[in-house]
Amino acid sequence: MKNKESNTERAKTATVKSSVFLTDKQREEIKARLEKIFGEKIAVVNEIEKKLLGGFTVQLGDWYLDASLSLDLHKIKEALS
Amino acid sequence: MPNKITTGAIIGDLLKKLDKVRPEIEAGFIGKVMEVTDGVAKVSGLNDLSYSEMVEFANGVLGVAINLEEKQVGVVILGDYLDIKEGDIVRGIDRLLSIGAGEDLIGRVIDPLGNSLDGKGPVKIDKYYPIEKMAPGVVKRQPVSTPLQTGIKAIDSMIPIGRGQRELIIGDRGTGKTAVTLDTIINQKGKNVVCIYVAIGQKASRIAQIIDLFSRNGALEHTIIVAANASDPASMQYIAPYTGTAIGEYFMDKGKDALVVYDDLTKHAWAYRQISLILRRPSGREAYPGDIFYLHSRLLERSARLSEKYGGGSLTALPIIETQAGDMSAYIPTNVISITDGQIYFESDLFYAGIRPAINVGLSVSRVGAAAQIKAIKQVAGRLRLDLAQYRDMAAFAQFATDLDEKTKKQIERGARMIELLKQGQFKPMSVEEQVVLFYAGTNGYLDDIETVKIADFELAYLDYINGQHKDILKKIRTEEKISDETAGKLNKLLDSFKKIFNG
Repeated sequence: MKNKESNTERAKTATVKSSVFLTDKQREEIKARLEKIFGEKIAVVNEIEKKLLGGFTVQLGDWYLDASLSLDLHKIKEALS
Repeated sequence: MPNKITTGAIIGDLLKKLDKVRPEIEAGFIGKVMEVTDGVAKVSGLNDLSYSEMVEFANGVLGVAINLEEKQVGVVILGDYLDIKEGDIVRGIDRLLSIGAGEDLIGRVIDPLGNSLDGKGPVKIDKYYPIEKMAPGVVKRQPVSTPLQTGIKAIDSMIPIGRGQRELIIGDRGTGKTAVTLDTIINQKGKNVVCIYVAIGQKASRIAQIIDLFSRNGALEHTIIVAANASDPASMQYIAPYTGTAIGEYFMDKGKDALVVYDDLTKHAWAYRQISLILRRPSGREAYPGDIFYLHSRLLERSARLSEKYGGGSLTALPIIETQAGDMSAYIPTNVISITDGQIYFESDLFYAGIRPAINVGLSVSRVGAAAQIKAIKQVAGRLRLDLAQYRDMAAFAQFATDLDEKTKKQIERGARMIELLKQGQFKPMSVEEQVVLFYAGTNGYLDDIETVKIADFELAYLDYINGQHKDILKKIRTEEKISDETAGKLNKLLDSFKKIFNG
């Protein structure tokens, strides 16, 4: 039950996954952008995900953003098949 | 051994494909699967999803959202649901459920999502048509006035179907309903009508038989088959008729005439009932959901004849409903009867008595009627209907060998011969001009002195005779579309001389 509730509300913590650790400046910029889009205070948590190969992904409750290199490579693979 | 393809050509092709790729950021809402039941998944999240929007599960299976609730979305899974686990990510793909239509579809067998089932490779798509669509409004339509010749004597004479009409085919199992639609499809050869056969919940072996039948009778050149057989998930059986209609609309919008057969809508209603019950929608009579009428009405309303301003195309629908024990007053049959422009009623009693097609002419009706017939057949069919109606009135007496007056005896004799005339074998559709000359002979008394058991032989010999030596009469009827006095005179002379040959 608790799980359902937290999934459908926008949690205030954004999980940013990247292949290498974000610099402080990058973290601040992402935080500012997200707060501008959603209009509320957001805490940013950074995790390492080697499989992304580059770029980053953001997960904020139900909302996601994928700006990773692995997505681009996936798109190229699909286009060539 | 492709020596003609150079590496340069291959590289060129790859570069062209690469050019089309645009690196883009993806953003949106995702959902998580909370619950998976037979063919339906409950998904949390997906706040911005629209009704009837397609979603994609983590393992690539597609689904369509049909229940939007406050904290969850009910998604009908269009494919194998056994691999979907609780917690899987679900993503909206920003596209309404649609089917890729094109001329390339003709002669192919596809599933309701457009994937090919006949092993001939993917279908070339011209345009994507939404599976759910609003029916054409009143202003876009024009009345039905051109005939759709089924090639079946009983139908073309007394229960005629026009292009753009919806005519229900209803009866118990095993009475020849599908056979009649197959004959109709075969008869559309060379008549510029694209046929779509939608198989809902049937045995895969039966669908294979039907495909074989079409190819042996040259019908695959103008037919498309949409198949959702009995082992396919209920979701596929649910959308199959809508896919068939969307493909028909593609041809209708191009100004062409199309025919779609739904075999059968009873199984379609069962599939929808299953989905609705799993979605916990309130159930009503016979456990069907409250919108079971809307399920069929929105499907059948899309069959229409468009006005000249919109291309003048048409989509004719032949839905099939299977009754239990001949009960036409059951829930689903009465629903569909009130939606369609008439019904053709098949009876098991007639079937077992050898009257095939087993059509009960008394209970069958076509609300478009004479507007969809050429004058020639109207001239003979009126008399035919009367003869049969009088026969039915007296039929009970025919069973008792009671002493009857001359008039009654004549009516019974005439009616019995007409019934023999209306019997027809499978895969033997008859052209409208042949029907005209045949009924002309019957309704003008030329058969009254021939024994009832010999009528079938007479029919064969007579048509052979006309096709062999008097083809010009058939041509005249076909071009003039009526029986002029001259043609009538010629037919009278012809019949007199033929009967001498037949009897002598």
